[in-house]
Amino acid sequence: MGESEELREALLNLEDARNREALQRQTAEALLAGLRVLVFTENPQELFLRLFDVMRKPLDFEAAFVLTEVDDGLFKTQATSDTLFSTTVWKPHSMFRRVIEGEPVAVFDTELVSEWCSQPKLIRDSVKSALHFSIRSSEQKALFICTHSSRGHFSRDHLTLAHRFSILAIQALQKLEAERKLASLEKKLETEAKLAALNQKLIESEKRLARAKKMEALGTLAGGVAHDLNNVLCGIVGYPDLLLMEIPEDSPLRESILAIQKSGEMAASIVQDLLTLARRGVVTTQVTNLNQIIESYLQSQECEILKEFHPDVKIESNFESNLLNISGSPVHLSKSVMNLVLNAAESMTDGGNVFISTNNEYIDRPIRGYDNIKEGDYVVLTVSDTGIGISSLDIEKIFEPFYTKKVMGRSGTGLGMAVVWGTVKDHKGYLDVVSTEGKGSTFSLYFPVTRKEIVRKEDAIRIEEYMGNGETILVVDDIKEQREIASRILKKLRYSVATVSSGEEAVDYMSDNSADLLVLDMIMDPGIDGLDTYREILALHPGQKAIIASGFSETARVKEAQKLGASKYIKKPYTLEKIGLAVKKELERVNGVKA
Amino acid sequence: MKIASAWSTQSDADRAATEAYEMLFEKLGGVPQLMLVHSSCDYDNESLVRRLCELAPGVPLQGGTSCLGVITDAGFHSHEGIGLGILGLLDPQGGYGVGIAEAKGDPETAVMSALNTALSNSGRPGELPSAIIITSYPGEEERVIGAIEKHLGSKVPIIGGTSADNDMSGQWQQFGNDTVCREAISVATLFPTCEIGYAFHSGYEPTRHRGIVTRAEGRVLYEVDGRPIVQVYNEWTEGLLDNVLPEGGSLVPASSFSPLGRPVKQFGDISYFRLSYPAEILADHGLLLFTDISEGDEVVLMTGNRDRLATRAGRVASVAVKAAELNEEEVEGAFVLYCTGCMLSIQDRLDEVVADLQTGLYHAPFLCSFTLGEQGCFIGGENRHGNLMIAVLVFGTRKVE
Repeated sequence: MGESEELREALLNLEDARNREALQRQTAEALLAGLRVLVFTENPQELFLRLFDVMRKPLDFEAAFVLTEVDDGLFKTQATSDTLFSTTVWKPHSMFRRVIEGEPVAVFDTELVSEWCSQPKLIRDSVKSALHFSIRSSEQKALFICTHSSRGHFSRDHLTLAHRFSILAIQALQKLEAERKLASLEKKLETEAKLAALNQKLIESEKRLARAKKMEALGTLAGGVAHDLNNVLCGIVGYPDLLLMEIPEDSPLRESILAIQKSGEMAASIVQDLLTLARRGVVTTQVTNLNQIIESYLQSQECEILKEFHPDVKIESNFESNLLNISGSPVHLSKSVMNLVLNAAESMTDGGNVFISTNNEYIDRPIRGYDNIKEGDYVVLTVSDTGIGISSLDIEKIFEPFYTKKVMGRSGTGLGMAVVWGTVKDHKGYLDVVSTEGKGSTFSLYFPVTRKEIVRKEDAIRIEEYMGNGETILVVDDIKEQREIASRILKKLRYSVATVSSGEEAVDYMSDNSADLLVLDMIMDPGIDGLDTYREILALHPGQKAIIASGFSETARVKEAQKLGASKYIKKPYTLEKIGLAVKKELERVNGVKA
Repeated sequence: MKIASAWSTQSDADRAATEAYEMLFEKLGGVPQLMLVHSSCDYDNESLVRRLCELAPGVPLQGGTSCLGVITDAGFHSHEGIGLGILGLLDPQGGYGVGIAEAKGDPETAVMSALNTALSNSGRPGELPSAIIITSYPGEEERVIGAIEKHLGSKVPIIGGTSADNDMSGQWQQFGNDTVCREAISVATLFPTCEIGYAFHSGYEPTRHRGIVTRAEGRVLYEVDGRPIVQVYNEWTEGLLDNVLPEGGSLVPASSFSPLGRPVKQFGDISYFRLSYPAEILADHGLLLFTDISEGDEVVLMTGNRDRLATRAGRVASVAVKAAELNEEEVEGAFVLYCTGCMLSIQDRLDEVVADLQTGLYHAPFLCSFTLGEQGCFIGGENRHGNLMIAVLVFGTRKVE
């Protein structure tokens, strides 16, 4: 080959390479434009319309439309740049099938192709050549069709560009589809995770509800027992006072009677525990301070006994100096402290430390075991020990009444921690336990604070101050022992006493008689209760004075009776001072005003 | 896609067909989807084609006669002017069809008929093929190309050859499926599943001699720049016609190194040409060409030599491979058309042509037919008929992407 020919050939090749490069650049730009539309357009209708716009020039078509597969393998127009193709329906033959499989096809004469021959004349007259390629996703078959009114318009270059675009479009659409699926899956997983969390919460709530119901049932049982026991105890607690008044100071019986009274009071204390569980005996309206209650306990005889029983247990305390007050029941709070300390001491058979601390805390975060916490200021009582700890299995049960791992009879009755739980509930507080087996436990009790100040307690009152002057009192109680003890106490206080055993009898009695004061038992079964009795007697004697007595705490019916005119509510069992003061106070009241 | 070449130089057409087909079948490992068959005119080609159709019933068969024999990747196959070559394409997913129609004075109608039959047999009526292979008879090649382009549009590459005999005595034939004709157009439409590449070049350079055709009729050139062509051509060739003037006579193969060229297109400052073979000085002192010529055409005297013709085929093959962006492992096979005039000029150096084609095609199977005119597609995409040209169609192993 001559040098001249070689040079000519090199130049031709160079020119050819330039032309190819220019063609490839145009192709790449067209593909890029198409890809941008595919990737950045979310709405399918908008996507195809934009594709028609960007591909019109490089593919050199007059009109374009997209077909998607519908029922029975037919294809219908999904999007079009020309309304001529808006409602086309196509039955695939061999050409469409090859296009669907990924082979782009340029038709130089639509009249020779089955798919086009079955189209309406208007379309056949308008389209003489066409370019077909697939843009299927993994879920749907779709064809992109470009048309031209000239025969033999589309070339191999168009076909090549269409093929490249088809491959990229399929990949892009499948990627978008995969991303959509992934997003959907993630959303589903997220929903499932949320559901799982909700289920877990639900399970925990159900557990708590079951526990609450169990506590409620046990409480009801305990309450019933306590009510009956309370009536029995009235005699044991009340009669010693009367006996002691009648026997000389040096009587050898005095010591025995005092012992009976003390036992009765201890029994009454247990009854109060039971009532706490029943949540029928707790008055939480007294402004008090936990530091005083704990200090009082630490100086008490019970604490001394505990220390004697557990000589290797050291009790340490750390009080917040400006601890806020709470509104509560000092008796129950004290019992809770006592039970917590006792529990802690008994968990350290080989000795150890009990730490009691208090502090003010603003709570605005969840506390373990509670779905909702009322945000605000709380006093936190923390009792920690270095004892054996509580297993996760047991920790669920420790607040259940009568649940104890201790030796029955030697220590608790199984009510201690239940009382703590009940007390916290009654005080609208929260309770958290953290325990590690072998390392110890920490009980944290949260009580909502009050900004009220503590009222000083009055000094002891002398009996002379509540002695009567022969006023008439009708005692209404369905329990014989209760009637008798009340009658005897009131007679001792120089009142004229009559008794009846039911509400109906009381109404009968008052039909023919009168009384300065009624002492009404609220719960009488069978028959009408204290409220209805009072209501009927008021009909006979408007302005009739009455005090309500009950073994349970103030109920709505008690309050209803008080609205009608009844005054003091006294809680059984009766004591001389309790009933004496209440009767005296009510008798001295003149039309709602103390005389 | 799998391609294999096969051949035979058996003088008996049946035996030759059987031998070649068995070789092809063995190489392919199956029945091909297309057979390109080229054989010398001394064969009983009707028997040859019939036998092939018996051996491969229903397989599209396309081809024609080739001067003296054929070249394949195994060499030049010719024994006393007899040789058969087959290129088989195994491509079950592709689409291939062949049609043939006798011209009967209307080559346009004939080629349309053949083309539509081929497309229909491909199973792709109305669809644009990747390439078209044609075999025609001398004299109407331009009309054939024009008719195809009018039908399909101008962007389908057409590769073909004008069937040749051994001595220009008119024994050429065209094959289409089970039909053998003497004056027909045979068309194969190709929808392969692989990439293709093509090239169309001559082995000639332009000289400084050029002029404008001022008188011409069909394929006969009479005047350039207002002067008689015999005078002009003899001056340009420095007395090539001295021996044939004033009576006239054949110029084959004497004019093989001095054809006339016509610029097809210009890339920058460089033109490329299609060539016209000055075949004969007629009694009226017109110069008969193997291509049409028109008044107003610019003609340029081209020059070539034996060395260039011997090495040219391999270089054209390389260009085709490059056009398809195929690497060494990706060339599956090729079909080559080489000018008979050139072949006759370098007949003693055909081993070099074979070697260069083997190198250019990375030793892939190929079939080369010797023709009286070549049809091909230039760099710029123009389909043209020319003389003294080399046309190559390359198939890649890579699937169309």
